[in-house]
Amino acid sequence: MQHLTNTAIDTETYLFSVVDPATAERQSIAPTLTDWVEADIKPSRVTIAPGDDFSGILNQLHKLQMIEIQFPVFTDGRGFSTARELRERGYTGTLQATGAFILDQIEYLWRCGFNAFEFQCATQAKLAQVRLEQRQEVYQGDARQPLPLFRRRCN
Amino acid sequence: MYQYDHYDQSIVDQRVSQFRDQTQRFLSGDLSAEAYQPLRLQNGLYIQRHAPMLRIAVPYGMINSTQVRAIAEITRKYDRGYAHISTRQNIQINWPELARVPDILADLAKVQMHAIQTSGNCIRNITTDQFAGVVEGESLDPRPYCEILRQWSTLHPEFAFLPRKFKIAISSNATDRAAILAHDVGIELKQHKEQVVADVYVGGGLGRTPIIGALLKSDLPATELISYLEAVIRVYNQFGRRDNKYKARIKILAKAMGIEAFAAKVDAQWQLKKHSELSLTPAEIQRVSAYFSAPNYSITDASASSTLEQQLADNRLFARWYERNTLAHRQPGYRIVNIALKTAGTAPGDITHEQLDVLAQLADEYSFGELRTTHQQNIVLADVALERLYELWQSLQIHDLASPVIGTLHDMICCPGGDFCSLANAKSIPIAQAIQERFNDLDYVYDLGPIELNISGCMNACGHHHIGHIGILGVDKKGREFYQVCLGGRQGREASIGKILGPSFGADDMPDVIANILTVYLEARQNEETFIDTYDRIGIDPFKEAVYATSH
Repeated sequence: MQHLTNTAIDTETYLFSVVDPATAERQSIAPTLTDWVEADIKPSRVTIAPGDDFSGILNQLHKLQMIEIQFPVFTDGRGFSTARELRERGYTGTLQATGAFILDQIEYLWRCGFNAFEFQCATQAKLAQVRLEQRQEVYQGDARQPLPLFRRRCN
Repeated sequence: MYQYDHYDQSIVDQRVSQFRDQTQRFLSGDLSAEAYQPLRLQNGLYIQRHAPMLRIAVPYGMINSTQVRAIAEITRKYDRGYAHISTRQNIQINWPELARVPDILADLAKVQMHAIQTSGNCIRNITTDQFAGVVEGESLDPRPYCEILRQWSTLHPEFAFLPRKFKIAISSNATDRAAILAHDVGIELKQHKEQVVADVYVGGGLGRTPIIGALLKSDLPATELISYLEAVIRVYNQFGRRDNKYKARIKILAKAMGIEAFAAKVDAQWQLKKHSELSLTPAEIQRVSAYFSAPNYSITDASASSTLEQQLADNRLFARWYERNTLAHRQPGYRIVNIALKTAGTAPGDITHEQLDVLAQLADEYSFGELRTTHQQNIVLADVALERLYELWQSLQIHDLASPVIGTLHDMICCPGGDFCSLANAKSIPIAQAIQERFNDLDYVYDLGPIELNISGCMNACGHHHIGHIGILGVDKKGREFYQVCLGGRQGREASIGKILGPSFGADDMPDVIANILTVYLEARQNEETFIDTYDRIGIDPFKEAVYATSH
């Protein structure tokens, strides 16, 4: 049996940052996938937009410390699959959600392997932290807990 | 049927309090309408023409008498005393107050029910054959797999914001009453010696672009259903179109990529997941299957069937009901009983709170306390002993629940249409009622034989008009309601999409149009030929000529 890689360790702390897009300058813009793939000296971070073909980084994931996954609108769920696939393929670094994701998605994002969240206001970040501290029962195996409930049930 | 343990219960309870919080934040202005929309939809709550509509999940159509009583009580306490069975085996109430929906969900949770993912761009209620586990000719009971997949799909973290809704149906016999070829994913389960395997079809669906599903994977070990479905839906989530909601279903993606290329992408994802922790364990299959073991059937003696024969001979009405509405059971001494919710004067699939209470009572008395909803918008009592059929029929009659019309022209599938649904282009219920009234002579209706007439109020095709022998689609033309007719569609293994007859008709013309179509059939049919057989033989032209010759 192959083991689903649990590269987002459950005990690992998560990071919250707050960036107000209206006022703040982003500290450093992560290179796009194309820039990263073409770079001779690989930067330690990269940003992925929905629809980007990220097959070019899959065999170099160990060179990355931070992958940023963009959510231009919260209803575009591609980032959930991108994150989980990267975790399944063994990526162990920081996986940061940026953009328009909403507080109510925080548990799903976490379970898909995100461990860093860039919020646009501090209150939301605080609420998100509170929510993540309340662990809930779930059915599926995921990036945090590879065992589905049916392998954990004891009745 | 399946019973929650404390894990299942806590998942549903968590969801209720989460939704209560979301609704409060919406009502207080902390959560925008835009952000609230997908959250409420994933809890089955639509904002409709007159009021919100709440769609309650009936997983693969199984419901027990306690739950039916709870639904009756909910319709009294929060709504207008009736409920509606949808074409995906769910139960809808049309008039709840938004602020009270969290309370409704809390009441549902007490009887192990919920409204999770009955709407929204996520994995919807998984459906199956309404006669699963009791019908003859089944290779295995699909319901344990339905329940396993229900649990897997419930609040799945990766697949809650898909390009569009995602519907899965499972079947395990050649008849395929679950219409698996008309689903985003259709699964046919088969028993291969000791092993259960699945054929997986993808990209079927009705709506604006009706397509029959294509075979994606054959003989998949059923233990790999979860890993494989995760691969399929991941490919859909990554590559499905999000720029146009009418082109966002998986059928468009599978067609555009071609089935081989699509299958190759799925396979690449599956390599990451197969034979992993996601593989089903024998213990889990056994645990869930135990909930679907046969009830405690009594062994009947020969006198049961001779009593029944006498009753059938003595009472023509009873005999008619028996012939139309009951079906052979795989257990000797038992029948499957269909209850048609197609009473003239009410919307197809509607049921009052009194009728719900009566059915709960009758299920307790005659059918081991369990009922099923069907995609034909009827209800089934699956395990009725032969010698008690007459008694049951008498009780059903008192409550207007014994209409002997299963499989006939009266047994129409009909969406809520423009009377309730804000998507609809046209009303559908009045059309169904006008047709029922026009053909109120049951002898004529019986003479027509089996006919499936399906009505949708818009392109979204909730009334499955494409796969009706006669399909009716409501269209909007410059603000007026018109109806397009198609012929020759069918469901099941031979599923096909009906052909459009020609220009559309006004609502008032519809009974005449249907009458003309039926006359062509009656005049052309040979021997015992059914409507659909005659259509196949003579084609659409004679119908076209007759209908358009007289309507202009």
